[in-house]
Amino acid sequence: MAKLELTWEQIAHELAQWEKKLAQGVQTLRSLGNPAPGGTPRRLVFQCGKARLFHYEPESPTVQAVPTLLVYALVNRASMADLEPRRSLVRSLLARGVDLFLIEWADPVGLDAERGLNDYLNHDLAGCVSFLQTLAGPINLMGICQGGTFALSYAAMYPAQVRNLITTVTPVDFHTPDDVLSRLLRGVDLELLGQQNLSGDALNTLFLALRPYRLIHQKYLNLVSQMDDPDALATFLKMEQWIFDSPDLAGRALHEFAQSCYRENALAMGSLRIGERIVDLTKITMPVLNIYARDDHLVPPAASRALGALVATDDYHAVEVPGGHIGIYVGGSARQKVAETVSTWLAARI
Amino acid sequence: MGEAMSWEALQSAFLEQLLRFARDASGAAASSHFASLGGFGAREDAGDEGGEPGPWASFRLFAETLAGYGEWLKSSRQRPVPVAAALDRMLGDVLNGLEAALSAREALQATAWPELTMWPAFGLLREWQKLGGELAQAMAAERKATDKLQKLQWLALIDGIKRLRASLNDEQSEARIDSLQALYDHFIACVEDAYQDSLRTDAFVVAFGERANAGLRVREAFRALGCKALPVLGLPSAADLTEIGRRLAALELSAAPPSAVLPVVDKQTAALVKSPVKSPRRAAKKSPSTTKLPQVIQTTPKAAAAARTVAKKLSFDIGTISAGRRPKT
Repeated sequence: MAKLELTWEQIAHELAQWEKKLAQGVQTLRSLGNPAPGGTPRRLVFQCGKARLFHYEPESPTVQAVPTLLVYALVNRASMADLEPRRSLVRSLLARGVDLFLIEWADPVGLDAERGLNDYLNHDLAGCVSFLQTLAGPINLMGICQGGTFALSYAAMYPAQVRNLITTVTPVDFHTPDDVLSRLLRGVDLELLGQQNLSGDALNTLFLALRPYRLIHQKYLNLVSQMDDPDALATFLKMEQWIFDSPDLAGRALHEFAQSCYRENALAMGSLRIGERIVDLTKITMPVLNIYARDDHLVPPAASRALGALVATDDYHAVEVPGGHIGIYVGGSARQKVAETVSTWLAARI
Repeated sequence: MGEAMSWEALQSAFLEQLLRFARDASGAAASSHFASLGGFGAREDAGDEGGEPGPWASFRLFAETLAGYGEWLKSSRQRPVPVAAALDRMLGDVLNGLEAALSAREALQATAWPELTMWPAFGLLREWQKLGGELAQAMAAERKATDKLQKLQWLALIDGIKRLRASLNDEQSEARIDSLQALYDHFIACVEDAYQDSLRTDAFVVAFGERANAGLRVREAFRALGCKALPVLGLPSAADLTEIGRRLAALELSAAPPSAVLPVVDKQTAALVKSPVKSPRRAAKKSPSTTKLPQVIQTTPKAAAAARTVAKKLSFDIGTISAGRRPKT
């Protein structure tokens, strides 16, 4: 018992402090109310299928000549990139002169259960890219998580339309030994899974099951220690709202992604087919920046790092950022590092 | 008002009160006292020797446990046990309790979820019988799969607590735990590590898959029953919505030229994104000639392609329309 250096008096004192903070926190909570959505000014400029293309108002006196399109995943919402002014990847990029566009996926309804990856990529994403490409030439494509897989696939299918490619926390090799999500899906009947849309709540339950003690117990108990800080509490509430405000997933798209990527590892194997097109990563000859999170439990670093050996470009850079899957976008220094890396890397290639 | 009591005095007073209540409640005097409040009087004499019937038995047990706990607390106050020793004893009790509860749970599950047997549905309500039976079967299967998965989760928790106990007894360790918060964080780290190890086993993957599949089958069974029930309630089913989508697509195709269903480009935005863009001000002054339609639109001039666009928007199969044949209405 050498490690434990605690007395009953210490415990009593700490519990009393904890109780005091909890009481203060309740008061703070009452004063806050529900977090309001609010982000960087932007305008809806184009719609195609389920894709809504937004343009953010530039904040820098000089704006990069080539627009950058941010593609988010179908899982959760793109608002994570612009959660609040102090923790906004979008603002950080705008401040560094990136001309930023963002695709937000509209929630699928029951009739969208038959929407597949072909609809999302070869129709919706293609429509948005074509919109920008027709007006501004080849664009920069930047993807987050599954959105990175989409951006990667799109760049492989339409290399002439993409000037620079940026992937962040993007799974490429879905069969790395530490990919717990991939292992868990091995026992799931994917045909059955894709017969209807999957509810966002069901997906969140899966994510919670990956780290139940940290995500269900520790997170909320530790919250008490920052409950006397209204700013910290407001940020926590916004994160909570974002985490659990998950859209449903279109059945077919989910089935195709789980089957081809998670089950067959088709993206890394070069056999991923989307519609009539094969996703051949050796077609990727444009510059590639691959950012991954060191402590990512959803997309392990090895799953992202695999990209380097699969693309044909001579201009490939991989950057490891300290933090978790979401932390690198909302955490203070990690977010700044991501924004700085992206903007500097782009500026050198435009 | 007297002067403020110290924390130690308050604790002693609380323990005295607790013990007095617990002793009274577990004694015969308390039994008759509560019985006199009504409801249990008739049962008071019904017990066999040494025991009491119904609610009194469990109440007495609870009160005795409470009294024992109070005695332990009081003795701890008088002869303080080091935190580490008390924690070690508590963890031992928790482990014993968890293992006993797991055994009891298994025994209960063995009797609580007998196999549901189905027989062919017949008669006027045969379809309802069939769908209801399938749902009941699916739910029973889900319950079983959940129990199987939860057993693995419990075992991982037990493993985690054993790890915690072992680490706290590790004399070689140089790490220090000098706060309750640190102790709690260490507890979480131990149980989470054990859970992660369990998560990576084949047994867990199989159990997780079975649980997920069972849940999906319940969803399918509910859906089937819902599709049957919704029209009875006058509400649209999935089939109705699909039909609405089909008719809407046909209507759009017949009533509007292809361009009308295509996205509208915002002129101001088109100017903003004209290449090369150096600054928003400069871009805003650019010629409106940049408002040409995006490529994806220009390449779909024919009605058949427009129908495909509509189909993508509505996401259902309108193969007959995209093939150039008018749908039946």
